[in-house]
Amino acid sequence: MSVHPLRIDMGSKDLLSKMEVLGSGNVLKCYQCGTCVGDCPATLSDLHVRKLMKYSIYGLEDRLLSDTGVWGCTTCHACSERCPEGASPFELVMAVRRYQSQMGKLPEALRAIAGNIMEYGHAVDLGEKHKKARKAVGLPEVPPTVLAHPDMMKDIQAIVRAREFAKFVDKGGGE
Amino acid sequence: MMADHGLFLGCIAPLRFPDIEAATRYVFDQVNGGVTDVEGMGCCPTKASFTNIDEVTATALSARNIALAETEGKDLVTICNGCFSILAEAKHEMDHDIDLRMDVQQVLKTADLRYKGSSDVLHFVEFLHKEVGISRITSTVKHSLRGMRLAIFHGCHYLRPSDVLGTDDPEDPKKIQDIISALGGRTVPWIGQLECCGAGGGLRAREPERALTILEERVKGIKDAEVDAIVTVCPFCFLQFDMGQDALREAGSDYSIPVFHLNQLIALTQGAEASHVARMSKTPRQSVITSIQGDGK
Repeated sequence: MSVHPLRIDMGSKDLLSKMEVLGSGNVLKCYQCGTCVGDCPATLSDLHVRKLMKYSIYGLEDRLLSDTGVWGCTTCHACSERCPEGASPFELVMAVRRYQSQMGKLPEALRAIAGNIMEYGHAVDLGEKHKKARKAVGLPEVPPTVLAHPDMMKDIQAIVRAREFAKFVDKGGGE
Repeated sequence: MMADHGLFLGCIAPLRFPDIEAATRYVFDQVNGGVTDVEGMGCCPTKASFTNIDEVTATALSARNIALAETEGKDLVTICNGCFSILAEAKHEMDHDIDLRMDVQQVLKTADLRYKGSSDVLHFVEFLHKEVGISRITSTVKHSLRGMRLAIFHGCHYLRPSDVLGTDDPEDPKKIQDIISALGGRTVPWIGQLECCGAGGGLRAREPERALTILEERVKGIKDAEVDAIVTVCPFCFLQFDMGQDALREAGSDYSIPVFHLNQLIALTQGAEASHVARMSKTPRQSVITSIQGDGK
């Protein structure tokens, strides 16, 4: 029976630091026990957190950065919470998401939510029917948030525009 | 009157389930909690948005909200798990990571704001449990939940990451149960009670079917426990359980377990008008409201 060991020399040497800049934390703490997988509500889909940790450790850059399973994460944080080594598989998932977004691959549904925040200051809008619903429960039609202070909307926009990544929030900035 | 606290409304409660906001205001008023508005707040921002692009942008939007509370000298009380964990984690990062803090301060300058770190971020369960206290809640109850069996859904971001949030024991949480006991209700354990509702991280927005598959596992666990209602401490978990069961019914199942945000349940026991504090749901809950408050005759 022949054995095909994973060839570590195929890996990228700077992948770890690249992911750390994107917020992955120290993936080298991982000893591949798989506790993260057992806890993950997205395991039944195409997200496999232990495998992503392994790709990072071995520098398998293409496999890690092209993994679209990361978008199946619900951000439940169970993997990092219960990791016996104190590694942060969840943060690696988010780092891969950030990499893909900065390559123009932010999923449209998520881009639209960020776009709403740029437009209304909130993740969802306040339409006429929502104003009516507020009135029906005895509340003012507009809550005392940024919606009641249109002059403060420019602060939210300025904060987002201050960074070079704002272009990914505009229509057509994702995929 | 207690120390100054500012109410952080978030998005889903004020804009989609204003009855949860109304219930919250009623409860805080009844316990004399000293919670007032902080004007001009925006999205926390949700983990389905900017954090997927750039950590500094996301943290800066959180820090803007916290900085507004700081200028009024208030600690923030959140009524949503997402808002809570995102603001609390942003605060933690700002207070522990000097590089991030400097980048964020630079961004905040564009809005003439500066983060100081002087305001805390609390989940309303922590606020009620610790700052208000169980005995004061008990003293406001007019209608006991006696005989009622309830399933608590804590939700991920009430518990995790526990080393940063420190809200409750992450594997054996007790505080929500304590509050329900104070209302006279009984909580029932169920399979999957510390797991995810499936809605977060943009999954519900991007792949609703998959989010529903995760939800159905939770609903099955609750149905087996034979409860009268589900209690959430988050408007987004509420949305997922309430509207999600409706979607499952449309797909042919018969799940129909009433869902309440904890503040709605407390407000009902305090005698609030159900048409104000528990008005909006896709999954019917009148039977539970009637059994709490009587039929008004």
